[in-house]
Amino acid sequence: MNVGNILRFACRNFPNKECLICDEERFTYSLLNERVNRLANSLMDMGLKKGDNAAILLQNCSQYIEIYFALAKIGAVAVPLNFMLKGKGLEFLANNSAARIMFLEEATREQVEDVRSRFTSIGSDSFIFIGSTVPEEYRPYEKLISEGSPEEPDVPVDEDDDLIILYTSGTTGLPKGIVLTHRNRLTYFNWCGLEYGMLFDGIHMVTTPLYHNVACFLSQTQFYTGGTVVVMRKFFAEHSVELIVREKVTSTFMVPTQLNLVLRMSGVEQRNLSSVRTIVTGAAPLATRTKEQIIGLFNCDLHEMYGLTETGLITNMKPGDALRKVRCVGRPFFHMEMRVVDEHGHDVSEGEVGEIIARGPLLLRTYYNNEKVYNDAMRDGWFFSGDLGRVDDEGFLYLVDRKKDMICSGGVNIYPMDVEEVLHTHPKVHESAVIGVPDERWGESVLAIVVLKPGESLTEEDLIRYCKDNVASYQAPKLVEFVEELPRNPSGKVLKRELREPYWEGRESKI
Amino acid sequence: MMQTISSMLDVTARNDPERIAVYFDEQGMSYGELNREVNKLANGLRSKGIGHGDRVMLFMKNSPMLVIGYFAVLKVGGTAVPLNVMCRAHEISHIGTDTSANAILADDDLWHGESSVRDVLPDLKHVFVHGEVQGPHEEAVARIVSDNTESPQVMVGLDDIASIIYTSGTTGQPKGATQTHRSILSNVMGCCTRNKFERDDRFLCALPLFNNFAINVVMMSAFASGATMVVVDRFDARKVLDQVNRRKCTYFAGTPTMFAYLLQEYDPARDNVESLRVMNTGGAPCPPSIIEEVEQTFDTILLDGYGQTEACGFTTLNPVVGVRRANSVGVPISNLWVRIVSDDDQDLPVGEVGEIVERGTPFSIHRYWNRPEINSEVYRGGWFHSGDLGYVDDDGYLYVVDRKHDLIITGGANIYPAEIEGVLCSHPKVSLAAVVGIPDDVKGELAKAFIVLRKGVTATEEEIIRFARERVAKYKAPRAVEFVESLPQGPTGKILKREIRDRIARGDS
Repeated sequence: MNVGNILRFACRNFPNKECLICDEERFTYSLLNERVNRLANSLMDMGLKKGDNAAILLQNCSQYIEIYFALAKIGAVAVPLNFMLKGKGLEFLANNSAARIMFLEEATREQVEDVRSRFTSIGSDSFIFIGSTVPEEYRPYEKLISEGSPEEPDVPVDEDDDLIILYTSGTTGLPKGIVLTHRNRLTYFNWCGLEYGMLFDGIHMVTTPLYHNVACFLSQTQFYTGGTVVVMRKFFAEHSVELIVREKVTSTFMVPTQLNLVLRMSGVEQRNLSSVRTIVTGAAPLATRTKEQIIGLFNCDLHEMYGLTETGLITNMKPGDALRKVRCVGRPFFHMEMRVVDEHGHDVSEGEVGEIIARGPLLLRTYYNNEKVYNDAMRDGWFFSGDLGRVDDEGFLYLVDRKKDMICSGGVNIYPMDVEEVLHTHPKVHESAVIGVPDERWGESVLAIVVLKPGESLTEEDLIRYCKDNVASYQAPKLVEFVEELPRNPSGKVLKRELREPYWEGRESKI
Repeated sequence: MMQTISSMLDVTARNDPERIAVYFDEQGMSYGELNREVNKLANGLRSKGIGHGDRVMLFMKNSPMLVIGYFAVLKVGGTAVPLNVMCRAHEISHIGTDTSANAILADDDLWHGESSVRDVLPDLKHVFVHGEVQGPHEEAVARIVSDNTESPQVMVGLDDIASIIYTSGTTGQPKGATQTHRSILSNVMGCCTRNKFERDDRFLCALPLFNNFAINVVMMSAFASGATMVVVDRFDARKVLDQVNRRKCTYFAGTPTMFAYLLQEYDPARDNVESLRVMNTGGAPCPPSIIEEVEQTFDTILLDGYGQTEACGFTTLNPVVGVRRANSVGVPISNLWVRIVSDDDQDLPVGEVGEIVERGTPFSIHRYWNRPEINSEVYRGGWFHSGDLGYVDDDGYLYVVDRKHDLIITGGANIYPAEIEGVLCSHPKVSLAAVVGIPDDVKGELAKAFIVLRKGVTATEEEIIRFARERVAKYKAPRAVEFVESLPQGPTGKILKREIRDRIARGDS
């Protein structure tokens, strides 16, 4: 079995079933499989072989789905890249991944052209351009489709072969390429299909970028179980609601920011959202009030997943526990194993903070060309996540913080999330990020960067006093900065590194 | 890290040690306990020299011991060979010789009835008896278990054979269908997804745990979901209804015959079946009237499926949410292809009846144990030839028409017994029906119906034939009807048509 076979099987079993929708484009399994075969055969004709890497620099589109499957069928390895990458960042990843070809489009063309002269592994004739008008120096994607053979490519690809390299967003140090095999992915599909009820009649909507792990595996899970996938090119709250109504979407993944935007849409409660059975979220734990609002609006199951791209899903918060447990990310996902350990690798006692480690079939195979870092992160089959957490008496995990986001002030550990949680309870605060900034006396002191709700105003003193009333005084911010919005990566995570940078510039020790 | 069947149990025991894995009578055993018991026996087997690749026969009635034994064999990297509890010495001898098994794990009473078989099985070095030991060659299971509750460190590969299950042999000598860790897990995940199993489910297992339907569809699905299995020693409609109520079971799997018995036994004043969420039927074509009546009476969903021991369970199943089609056994599970082919293996168009052939990861790469010739025939072109006739509709739903073998040809026209049985079962007085061909000088074969009536009613042959003729083409309606007390059934309740045909051939009918 391999990931490419999903389409082959589905195309044999229910060829006429609709499987992919993106704007006005609609595909049946048989049409999608034929286009994928044509692309796969053309790529082989171009000289792309099993084990070769292919970089993808695209926004969400139906072709993204085709490319993933075509590469899987011929045993080539997908290297999906953040479409906002440019300059040195793009150059580094294109070269580090040793990509042989690159997929691009008008929206990413300039970024590529700025640095392509410094690409070391992609030949000048190996840039494939997606779009209706294709500049002369590129290979038109549709030409590959029309010229390729529709036959199933005859390449033996099995579960131990590599499927995809996902680069870490690089909150610390250089990005690392996380290598996953076909087997990793097939395990994801089985477990997610079941856990999230993404079944044969399912219609899953993709709202996050397809270069990101979650969108990639959830969309393919829905193909695996023989359902239908609706791809949003870009997320707009209004449009997502329209699609849910029009396509009778049954499941979707949204990060908390997206969910908040949907909840705040005027008149949303008048829309018919009854088709939705499951909403999955992740990236940051939801406040209980937000959970109630989501469940109230959609009347559906709400799951919160937690994990790293390296580990896959470590825990999942099931619907039955969502409201019972506060700021909690649930229990081990399916047959994954999770422990919380001290610096010697020993289990900490219940309720105590330690590092979260994980083991199971979703774990990465290795870091691409970086066996050493991989070996450093692994011990006895366990991956050390660098995240801090604690487990309660029922085995539920609570994230305390990223180990590297932890603030150490006067020798005392402060977990930004504890402070952020209190800030969020202030009626005028929309969102916040708490970081450590240099402090001559304490080493670090706590800074809160705060976005107020529209039309609200608040003084620094008032907010600090509010915090002191609600947390231990050493945890309360010493400084508050009000901003219009927080920097986020496209998958919705707040980029704390960017927030910290100006304060730590020129200093060696931190970040 | 790879997931195998044995590692699955380790992980659940770690993640959810307190959850009940198995209920049997008054006894409840948590995942933590079960895993420790399995490890103790596995370490005991290891100390007896049983390890990777060894075949161990299991000859036991439904009980926690059988579950422990099955997993202990897998944990040492061995292959479990479950035996039908009805097996007699000569059958055990066939299977023991065929697999060259070097050990057997048996209930004392079962073994002591057939222990002479040891004399003809030179490879059989160990007889582990659960219960009372009689002869010098026997060792008590209780004596060999180790104190060590840790999982033995044995490398088990996904393509290692986890079990060999001998198929009921509706044609020819019983063959051992091999099942690998990969093929079992692959099928089980497909089955779990179709049923949307979760760990709060409670699976009622009344099927015998030497049978594929029980081992994989019920037990493995339950353990893969981290759920609870309620085991009863054997199918008894009263016991099943009592257990559903007592343990608040959410899932039950059975053959169509079992459902017919459950309907007969059900007493709304006494039986509370509210907890049932979903049920599966398979093993034989299920008349739509039974599905309808079960769903109405028990207010639950009964999914009809189709599958084989060779594929470790259901290969197609209707979905628990989404479109279910009457008369259809549903769509293929993930990882599996279905085709309908002509006698020369050419694809047939949608809607046309042909042989159902299948391939995919639920089929073990080792196919039948030790049967190269049958394998090249049954798996020709890489496709498993089921011997069943069926067709698919535009949306890929499969309709099973009948066993190729059971087909009745009368005056050149095909009669599919399953169709006629379905019609007969919709008669309010009929509980069970089997239609077989009887020799006829003119027409070649004629259809004859064997009928078990519901309790306390009587009916005439004419009445039944008239009922059938009003509903199907005249040539398909049975020409003769015989009322019987019961029909010969296999261990899972599958009606054994071969036995009925044999009886006719002998002139008993």
